[in-house]
Amino acid sequence: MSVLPIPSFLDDVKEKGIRKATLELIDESVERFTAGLNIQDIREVLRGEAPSRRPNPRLTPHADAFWMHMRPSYYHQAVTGIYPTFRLGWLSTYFFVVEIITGLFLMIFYTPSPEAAYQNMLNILSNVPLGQFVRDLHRLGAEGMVLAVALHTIRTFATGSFKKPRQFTWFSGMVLLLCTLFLSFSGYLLPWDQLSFWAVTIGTSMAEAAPPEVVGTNVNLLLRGAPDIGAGGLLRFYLLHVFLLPMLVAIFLGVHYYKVVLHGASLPPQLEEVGQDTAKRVPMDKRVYFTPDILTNELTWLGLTSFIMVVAVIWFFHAPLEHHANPQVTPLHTTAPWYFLWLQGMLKLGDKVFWGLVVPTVLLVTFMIWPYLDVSPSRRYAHRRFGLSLMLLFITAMLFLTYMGTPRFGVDTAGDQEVAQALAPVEGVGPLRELPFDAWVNGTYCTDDLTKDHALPIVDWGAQQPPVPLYPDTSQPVTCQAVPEGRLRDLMQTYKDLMVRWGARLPGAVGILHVQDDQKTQNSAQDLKRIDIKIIWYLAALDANNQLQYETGPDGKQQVKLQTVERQIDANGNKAVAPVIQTSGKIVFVNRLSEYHGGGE
Amino acid sequence: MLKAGRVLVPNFQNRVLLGIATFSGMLLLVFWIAVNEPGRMDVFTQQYHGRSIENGAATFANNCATCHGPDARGITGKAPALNNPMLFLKDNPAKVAAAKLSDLQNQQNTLKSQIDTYNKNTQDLAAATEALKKAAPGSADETALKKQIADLSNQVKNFDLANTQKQLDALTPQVQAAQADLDKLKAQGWDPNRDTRLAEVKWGGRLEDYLTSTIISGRPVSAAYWPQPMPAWGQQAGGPMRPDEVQDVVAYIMNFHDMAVNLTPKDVNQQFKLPSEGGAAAANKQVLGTNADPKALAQAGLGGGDPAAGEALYTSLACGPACHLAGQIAPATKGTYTRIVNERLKDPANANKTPEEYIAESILKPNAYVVPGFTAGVMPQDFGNKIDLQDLKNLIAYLETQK
Repeated sequence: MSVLPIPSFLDDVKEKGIRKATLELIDESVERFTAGLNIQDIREVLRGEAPSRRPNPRLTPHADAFWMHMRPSYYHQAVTGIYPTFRLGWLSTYFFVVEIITGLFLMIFYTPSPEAAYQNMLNILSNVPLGQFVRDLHRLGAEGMVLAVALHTIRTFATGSFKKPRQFTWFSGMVLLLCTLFLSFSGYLLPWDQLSFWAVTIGTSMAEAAPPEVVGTNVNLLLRGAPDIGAGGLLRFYLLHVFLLPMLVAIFLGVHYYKVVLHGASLPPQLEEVGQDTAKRVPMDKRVYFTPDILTNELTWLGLTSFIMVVAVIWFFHAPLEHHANPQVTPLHTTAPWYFLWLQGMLKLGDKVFWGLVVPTVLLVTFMIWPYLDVSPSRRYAHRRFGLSLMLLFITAMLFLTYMGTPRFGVDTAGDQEVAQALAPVEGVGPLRELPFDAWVNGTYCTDDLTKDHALPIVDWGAQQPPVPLYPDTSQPVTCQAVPEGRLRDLMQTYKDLMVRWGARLPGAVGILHVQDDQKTQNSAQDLKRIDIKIIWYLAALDANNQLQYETGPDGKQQVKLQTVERQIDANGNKAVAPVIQTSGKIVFVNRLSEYHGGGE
Repeated sequence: MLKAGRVLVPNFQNRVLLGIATFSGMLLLVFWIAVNEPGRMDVFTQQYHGRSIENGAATFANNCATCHGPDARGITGKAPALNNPMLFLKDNPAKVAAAKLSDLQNQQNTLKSQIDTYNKNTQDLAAATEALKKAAPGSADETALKKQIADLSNQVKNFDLANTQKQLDALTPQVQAAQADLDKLKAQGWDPNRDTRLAEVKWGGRLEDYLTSTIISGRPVSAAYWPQPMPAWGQQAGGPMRPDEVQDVVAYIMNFHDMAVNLTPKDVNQQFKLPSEGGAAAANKQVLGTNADPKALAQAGLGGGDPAAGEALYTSLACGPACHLAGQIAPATKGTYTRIVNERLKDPANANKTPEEYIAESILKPNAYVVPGFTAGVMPQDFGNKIDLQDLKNLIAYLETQK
């Protein structure tokens, strides 16, 4: 008789003895926890043995458990390998989960305000243990998710897995693709650095271009919260990024995966009879059960992918953080994120409304309703030459448009600015900042001759000094020094090569590098050098089409025609008609502590 | 073994092993990162500080150098040096040297005074002894003389002349050395009457905060003593710089520390100014000059000054904190007027002087009369070049309130 008014564990102990009762309790607990598998069943799974009980207890979780009920209890053998799915759907979901977990971590340390956001990023990187690690994972996961979802879409199209009865699966997948792109885009703004600010400015300006003007203006205001991106825009993007879009993804992912399981994972096209959807009717001999094979397979994939991610962020990938967002300064060569470069390339083709809005909208709608357009029953590659050709054409066009979106295409920047940008980019490192601090030797060096002291061939007599003067003062004769052998000589050689590459419209150009101390500190621990990059050249005479003009020189050879003006030509103040001289450049400061030169190299 | 299909690793056990290996490897890597995190964060902080200095240098070159100089040593008549020992040093070495010299001189004076007293006592004792011989026995004079002789004998006996003279002799080279140090510092441009910048403006916080607040808010009232006022630079105060840009400039300026502390005031082109020194206003000021005649000024009238303005000027010229604080280096401010009326004007050297004339003379020609117990040459001789007639009247009005 129980001491309690209800049946209890104590009754079992009394009846069977404590050891047996305890073992039974544990076994029952395990069976409840696993929704159907007891200790013996698990032992059989781990040993790779067939189930000893009937009905097969390994199928029970798929009926009774919440998480497992979403997964098929068995797969067709033909879809368990790399082909045809390449695990891309799984990979997309994996990245989404990684983003949720890492995003939650980062949310703790982030405030979506222009006053705080950038400082929060610095805090995450400098003051939060594993902060850089998690941020890098988050960024890599975002890039990976966009790539995985895009490849998954291409794979689905290629294998014809959008055809009946999977049309809505395709449609929901397109919604997920859009959500993924906007998740990545909205997250791009959050660091509030120059990269974020200007990339999102470019992207959202396309919304502003939507006709008619009242629509474009209001869509722009809705996105940005103001005519320009500021506190309102940052907050809205943040809410999109952490709430609305993840919620939409979760909803549509549920719908999408439900449909995938409902119809079954589509088989490789050549294994299906044309017009027959045999994915659900899996013969017994072709079944691969979820437990243990698919489960262990997925866990192994999880471990492997996570391991690769961790290795990648330790040695190969770090999320960038440029200077603080500055609405007054547009960095040279600013671009949209890589997955929108194709859009930026399209804008270079012509009218921004047509190429930036109309064409992408038409493409998007066409893709979304494609299963309702391509209703042919066969998924076989041989029967879908047209569709597959269109796909290859589309991919080729996207790749080409992506290249066109890069700054190298169709953007005309003055040669002197390109040289300075290549040598010491406004954002990023560049060859100049990579030089170890101790490799800098004070002096004036010129690209026309690296090996010996010589006079700079151009003197801009009587030139006015600008408000922020660049050294050396080229309104007086300048002595260029021989460049010391070593890394500095290599840098000057790079400078020289850049002058050759970009100097076609800079006749007689000489690149100068002036190095001097700016601040000296105890033990040189925080010394600062000032490096003036200065380019001096003769101004070319251009024709009405902005092209170089040529004339025959004194040596009989063709040379670039130069603009001339009456100017001072010597130290005595004498004037004559002479080629116009131009100078430009920038000042770069390099501190021993900063990262660029590898710190301690 | 179950038929597994073309999975990643067909063999079940191998698959499990691979999974365990990758999970373990991942955990080991994460553990390794975690162990190295403190070092990485320190390195990042250092690197970011370096970049902050670089950014600050660029901002300084583009915005601040036009007034403060490309090397931050100031531009004469335009803006003060920031690469400046007066900004970074806690104490003005000349002020310290002057205080040390003054202290030694005070000790010298004290010892001399003691020896003088001893000599006088000795003479008085001899005179009293002689007088006792002549005094009538049993008379009151005899009694008084005996008492006097006893007192004086006691004082003479207890005074260690040799030791005191020895101490005085030991002080002489110290005073000479201190004077030489002070002279050397003065030759380098150090002004013993000035405090370093933070002390001068009575800033009780950190230098970084002083710089930050100056850059953000500017110096709107500095038009009174600079050709152009320093504008507000921080966005909080309507300027163009974000808070992080202000911090970058501060980081750059602070990085001048090691250079600045090894400079002398002569190495900079322009020193800091106080409002009283004037600038645009000073250019229009009719200063009295060092040759002004206090008597003539007094006869023309030195009344009608504003005591409050006089007190502000007194403070801005650092009269109180530097010297006239507690009567150690110079007579204390408190009780000045009482002492002038009751003691100074009773000195035959100040006969026929009015209090106003006495004060004016003390300011314009400090060495004309030195209060006993204090040393000549310590008070600056050039206040006449800094003040005009109204300033003088205001100072007199203020000092007349110090009773």
